[in-house]
Amino acid sequence: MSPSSQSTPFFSFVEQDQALLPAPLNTMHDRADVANRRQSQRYEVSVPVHCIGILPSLELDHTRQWSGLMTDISSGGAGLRLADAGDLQVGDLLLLRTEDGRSPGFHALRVCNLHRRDSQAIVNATLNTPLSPMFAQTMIFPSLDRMDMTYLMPFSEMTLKSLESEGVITSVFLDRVLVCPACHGLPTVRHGCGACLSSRTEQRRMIHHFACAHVDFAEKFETADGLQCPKCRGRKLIVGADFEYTLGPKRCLDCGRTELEAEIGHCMNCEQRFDMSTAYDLEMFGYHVHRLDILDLIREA
Amino acid sequence: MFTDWIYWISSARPEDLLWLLLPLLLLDGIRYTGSNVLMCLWDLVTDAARLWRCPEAWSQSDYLPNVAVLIVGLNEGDTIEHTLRSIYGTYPKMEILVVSDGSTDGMEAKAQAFARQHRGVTVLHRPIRGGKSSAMNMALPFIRSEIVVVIDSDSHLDAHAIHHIVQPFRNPQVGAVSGCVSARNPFQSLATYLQAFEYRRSIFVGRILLSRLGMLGIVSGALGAFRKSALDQVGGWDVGPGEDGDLTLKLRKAGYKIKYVPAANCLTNVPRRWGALIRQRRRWEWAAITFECRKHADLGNPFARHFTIGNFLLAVERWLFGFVLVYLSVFSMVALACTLPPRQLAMTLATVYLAYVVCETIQFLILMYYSPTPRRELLLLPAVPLMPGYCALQKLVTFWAITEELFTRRSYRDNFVPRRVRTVTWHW
Repeated sequence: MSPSSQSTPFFSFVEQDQALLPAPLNTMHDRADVANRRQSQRYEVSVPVHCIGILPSLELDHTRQWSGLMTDISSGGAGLRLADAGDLQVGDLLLLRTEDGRSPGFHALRVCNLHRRDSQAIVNATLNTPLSPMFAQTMIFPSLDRMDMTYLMPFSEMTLKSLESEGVITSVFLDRVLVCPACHGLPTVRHGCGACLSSRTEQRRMIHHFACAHVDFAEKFETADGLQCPKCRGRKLIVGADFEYTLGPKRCLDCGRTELEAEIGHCMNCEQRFDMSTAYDLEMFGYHVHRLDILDLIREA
Repeated sequence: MFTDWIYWISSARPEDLLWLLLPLLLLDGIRYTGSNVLMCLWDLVTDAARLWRCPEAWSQSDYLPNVAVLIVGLNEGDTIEHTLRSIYGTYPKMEILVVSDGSTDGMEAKAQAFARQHRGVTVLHRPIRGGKSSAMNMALPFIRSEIVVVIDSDSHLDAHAIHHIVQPFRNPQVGAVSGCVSARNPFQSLATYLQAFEYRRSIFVGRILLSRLGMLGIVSGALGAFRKSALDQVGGWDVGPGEDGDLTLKLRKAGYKIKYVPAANCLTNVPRRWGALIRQRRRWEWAAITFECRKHADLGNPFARHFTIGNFLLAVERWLFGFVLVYLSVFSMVALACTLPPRQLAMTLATVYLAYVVCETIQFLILMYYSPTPRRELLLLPAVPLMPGYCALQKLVTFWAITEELFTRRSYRDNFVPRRVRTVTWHW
């Protein structure tokens, strides 16, 4: 079975929580954010930065880029002075990259206030953006959606690819998991019939009588007086010395076939059954986030 | 020396030469050469050999029963997939059963992988080896077909071998049919080269006559077909070695006919080294003593319940040519060596050798007549002058094997059968 026809989803895109989307100004959330930034201690810095615009889909917009200086930093936001930022608007999302000679650090900002002086834009931005959960940690991992039994990433594949191409994140191979070929859900696995995918199989016990080389189902040897070989009529058979038990092939009780023993997967999401040899081999990646260490900048300031 | 020999032959009296060659002329000559000559002359007149030279293509009226192909092997992981591919799909109504008898080289896994991709293939596996006989018997309860074709796991069948081998089963009295076995590796060594000619002479041609006379006493384990109901009636295979010959004799005693189809050909690897060849032939001869002389000695009993002329002639033929004459040959050679001066002994042996070469040449010509590929048989012509020496070696091996089996029951210490089986099986 092949995966769905659309470009292979590495994971399912989760509907963004509305609270994470850029909120319009003057909402309660924004006022609280401003108050939080005002309460945070500000530190003056002078760090060369480069900013790239972020689209509402959280992909990078390389047509909108600005360079400038980070003038101050706090735990809730940052002040920027950007050149040639005529097209910058309040509420825009920015990807900030420090360019002070060290390993680049990234962070996402949202423009809260904007003043233009000469050809420069004085920007007050908050660190509270839809990408905040990414920059809150150094590694992001796929998580298991226990309702759908599928692995999810917190951001869409396009977003991650866009950020990875910019160097914001670096993919790290985590694991390879066999999943449902239809919906990529996690399956349970059992031995069963490869023909009809039934798990109702039996494997009958057989007896090999050494003396006459007769092999037959165990019940054929059973008599009222104990075990007796139906071929040579040998009696008082002792296991290990006169005979041994062995197992015949597994027989499907539904279709009756004996020739196809297989591992059967049952998807816990779409309830579909499939041969595990046709399962989709899902590669799972985590991402190392090259985030800007705010504390580092504060310490240096 | 050579000229002395020629002079010696030319100056010898005819009655002396006749006396010298009498054993050859009366016994080996009649049994192996003379009988085939008569058969060949008869077929020349009736042109019956065209049936073997040009087997007819399939037709609507051909007999097509359900067939189960049974393959048993121990550590045949290297060859099992090739064998399965060579037989799968060559017959319309076929199921295949593969039995892995304690294999540890992945034979079961390879067979299972083939079974997943091809319908009608069942794989059975025993973790501990129990012997070939019980491995074949293990498959019998799962066979649903009318005819069981048994092949070795390293055999390679000709394209229509299964079709040809099942045709005699149209007669409900036929219980088993033997196919023809040829060497796949004739040019690997001198031993394989001589065996290749021996197989063509003894199996391909020799069994034609035995089958016609109703005296065929063995169905090759490399390619043989059996009626399933007949197998169930006689209880399948007994503990070996030589289980193929033993089963054939059981079927004969049960009243079934045994046939041979030369067109059902399979290729198998013959031993490349002389040591392996001698071990193989010793094993075969042990089985001949165990089954033909002991277990089935009643074949020659005219008062036995299952007595038939065919069984009687078969028993006499085997006892005479397989045992009595072997001892006579060896003892006569020893007597000659002890009584004749060396020079005369050498000339005598050379004369006998020459006579055997003449017989082998006649056998080769007969082979050329019956073979569907006579040009290919010409490649074996250089083996003709070497065959008398090869046969003398085989006679010595036979003498050694039947002697140790008669007096020490050597076969019951052979590892062909696992120890835990051979210690509790019946010792005939």
